[in-house]
Amino acid sequence: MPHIWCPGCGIGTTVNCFARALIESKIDLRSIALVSGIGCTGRVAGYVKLDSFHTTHGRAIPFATGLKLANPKLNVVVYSGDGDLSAIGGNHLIHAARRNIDLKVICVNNLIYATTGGQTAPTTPGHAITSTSPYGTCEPAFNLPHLVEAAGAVYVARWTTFRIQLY
Amino acid sequence: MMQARWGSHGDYEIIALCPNSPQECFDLTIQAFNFSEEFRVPVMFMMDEVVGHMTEKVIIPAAEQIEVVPRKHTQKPSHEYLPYETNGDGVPEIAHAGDGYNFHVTGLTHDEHGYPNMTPQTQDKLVRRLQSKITNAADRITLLEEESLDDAEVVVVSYGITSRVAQRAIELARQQGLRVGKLRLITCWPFPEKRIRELAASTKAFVVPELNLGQMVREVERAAAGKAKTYGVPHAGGSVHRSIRWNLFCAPIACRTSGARDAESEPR
Repeated sequence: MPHIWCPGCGIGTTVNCFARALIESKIDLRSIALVSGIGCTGRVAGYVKLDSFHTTHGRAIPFATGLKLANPKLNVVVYSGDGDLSAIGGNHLIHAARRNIDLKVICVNNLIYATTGGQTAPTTPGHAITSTSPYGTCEPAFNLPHLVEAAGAVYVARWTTFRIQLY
Repeated sequence: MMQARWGSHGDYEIIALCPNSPQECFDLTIQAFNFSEEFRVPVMFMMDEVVGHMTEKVIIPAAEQIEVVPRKHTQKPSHEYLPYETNGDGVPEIAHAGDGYNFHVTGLTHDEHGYPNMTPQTQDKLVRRLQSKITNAADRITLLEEESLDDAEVVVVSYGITSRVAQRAIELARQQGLRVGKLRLITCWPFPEKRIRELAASTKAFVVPELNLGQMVREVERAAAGKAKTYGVPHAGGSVHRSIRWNLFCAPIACRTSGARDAESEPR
């Protein structure tokens, strides 16, 4: 499938895993609404044959919250990146975890703002040299699973696109 | 006022409503939702600080008496449905998420299918649709309150809490035999250009008191296009427009040009 993601990037891998998981789960695809924000991962919404919403930067979770409240039968999936979900949308992330209104949030964490040119993100590891931290990032990074767990998320998991199970 | 109109990037029209009482806060909130549903556009609800903190009697009608305008939902089967196709009014029919339409919403330049399409032709068509769906219905969206405009030599254009200060000033002026009329903007955006143009042909001057140093006065001046003089009565806030009377009825005679002069600094 032709796509916009760079060679070697893990986003396509996650989309592949997500699509396979949907098929395997035998869930009614009509019941799924996929909501993304802005950024590399934000473009996922444009590649799925589902009701899909490419929303404003950082606001995927508020949009998804509205969808879920309007129609609780929908399986609402938020699919976005670390910059979108934990920086500009950081407050929405922790409050979604606190509220537990049955959203599934998939955060593809590439540790940086990639599509805009490699700027430091809240997830960028300390001392990393980026386009906005030429002498190394001077701030500690968010640990997102710990953050959302502390905020009350009922299920939290993390894995790497480097090691996926092949079918 | 300008941020409500120009708050985002891109080119679009927006709707903004300016209540001047708690009752209108209730009534116009319903109107705001109805406009939003009908035109599929955010509606700005512009309570100023004073209106936002007011306490007055509010009559809340029974729920069944409140008119609710639902958004247009598509009746087409999914294989015939194009999410951004319109029948000429610029407002597409929406599909319910979960009904199997697989429709896509994006802020990127998109065509009738809803998917990104970055050609200049698509961009032009999209922006013109977003604008025209509001401008074509502007007469219906632009809510105005008018009083004594038939013989008015001076028209006071106001909105929000300032319109209630202006009301008293207009009444006092009328008592003194001055031919002053009232035009209150209940809808500030889209701006009532057509009405201002009409009035500019029959009146000598517009006076625009505002609880800021002059924002909507620029729109009035632009729409009047030199056919009638336009005078701002700016006031930074913190008190009522105390010297509004001087400004309203002496300023046009003195032929001041519109400009940022605080009402407080004028003679009383």
